[in-house]
Amino acid sequence: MLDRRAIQIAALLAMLALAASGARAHDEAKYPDWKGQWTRGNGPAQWDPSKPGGPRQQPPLTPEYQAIWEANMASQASGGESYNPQAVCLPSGMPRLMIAYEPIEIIVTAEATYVRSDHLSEFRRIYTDGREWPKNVEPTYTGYSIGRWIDSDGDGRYDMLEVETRHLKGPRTFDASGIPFHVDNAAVIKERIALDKADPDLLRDEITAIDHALTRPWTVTRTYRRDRAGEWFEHVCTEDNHHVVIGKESYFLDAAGYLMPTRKDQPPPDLRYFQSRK
Amino acid sequence: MRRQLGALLLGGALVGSGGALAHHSFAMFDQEHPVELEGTVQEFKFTAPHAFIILVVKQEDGRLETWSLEGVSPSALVREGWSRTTLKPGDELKLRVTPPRRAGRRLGHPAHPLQRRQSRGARSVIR
Repeated sequence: MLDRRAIQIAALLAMLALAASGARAHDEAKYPDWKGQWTRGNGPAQWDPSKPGGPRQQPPLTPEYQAIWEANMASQASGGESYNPQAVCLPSGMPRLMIAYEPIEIIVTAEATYVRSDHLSEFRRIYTDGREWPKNVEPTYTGYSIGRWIDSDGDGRYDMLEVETRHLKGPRTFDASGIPFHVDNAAVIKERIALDKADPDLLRDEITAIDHALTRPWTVTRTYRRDRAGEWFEHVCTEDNHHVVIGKESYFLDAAGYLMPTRKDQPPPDLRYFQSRK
Repeated sequence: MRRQLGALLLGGALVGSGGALAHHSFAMFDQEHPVELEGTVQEFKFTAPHAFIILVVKQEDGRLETWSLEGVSPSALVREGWSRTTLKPGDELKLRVTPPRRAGRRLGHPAHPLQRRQSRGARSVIR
């Protein structure tokens, strides 16, 4: 009797397992193959890849934030980088993470899509489980992202991921030239991510930033090229970072660990709490 | 070795063309006025966020000057075939670097490697 019941339970479990694996296989078939290593596809790392870096980016900034950006570029030209959070290993956050300074990996599951980057060890999570926006979200550099899969050509398979990201934390910039976001951190980032129809190893991300530092939504399209056999590497930015920001000044540590200026006639840091040698 | 040193050159070339390719800008380095250095590798630091060559350079008056040469990230170098053993202490290098734009010397970014010879065995010379 006991043996027969055990066999029945085992059979039931086997049937459930088969059903579950069948459902999973069915679900996986609905999602696009975005596996592999995605490398920045359109050249240098300015935010709008269709324009040269620096002043010719022409971001639609308000006059107040245009002045901040110009001050950042002037600082950069003289060697300063205190405006650039990445120089001291803070995360890029969104949307700068999608510049892909190092290759990115996109991990697709039914519940969420994850984007990870070796560069600065960044990781973002895009919920695709149908959830609504939570009422209380603690801001983060990568923000809170909700995505929606689209079957744009009606073939029964998803081919585009639409994403909206909110609840971002600063400081963040669009790129290393210091194109700023508004200090209120109320930016909303919208994305449409899809493979090229003719080239399955080319991925596009159309990214629209909506921010109070901008006079209108700013849309750029970034591309990524796939390497299916690419090797991954560890990138711990704080391992040996020689760039030091003290107050609003950028300094550099030489090989022996001594603080060096990064621009001519740069004042040393305020050393009031150190006894000076007489 | 020529190919591997070429990867280091790539770092300088990208800096010259676009600026921001890494976690910070390279605008602090003067791309317009590179200088040539010839010296001995004291240490090759294969560390994030940037690999470093610590190079001891003999001056005309005999003084020794130590330079910190900041390269691209180790992960980028790995993809170009580098490893942490590509350069060793004692290796002799002749290369062109971009020094800081307005600060003192002894800091630079490799721009154009001209020559490398291994001090032990002296098997290869690259021009």
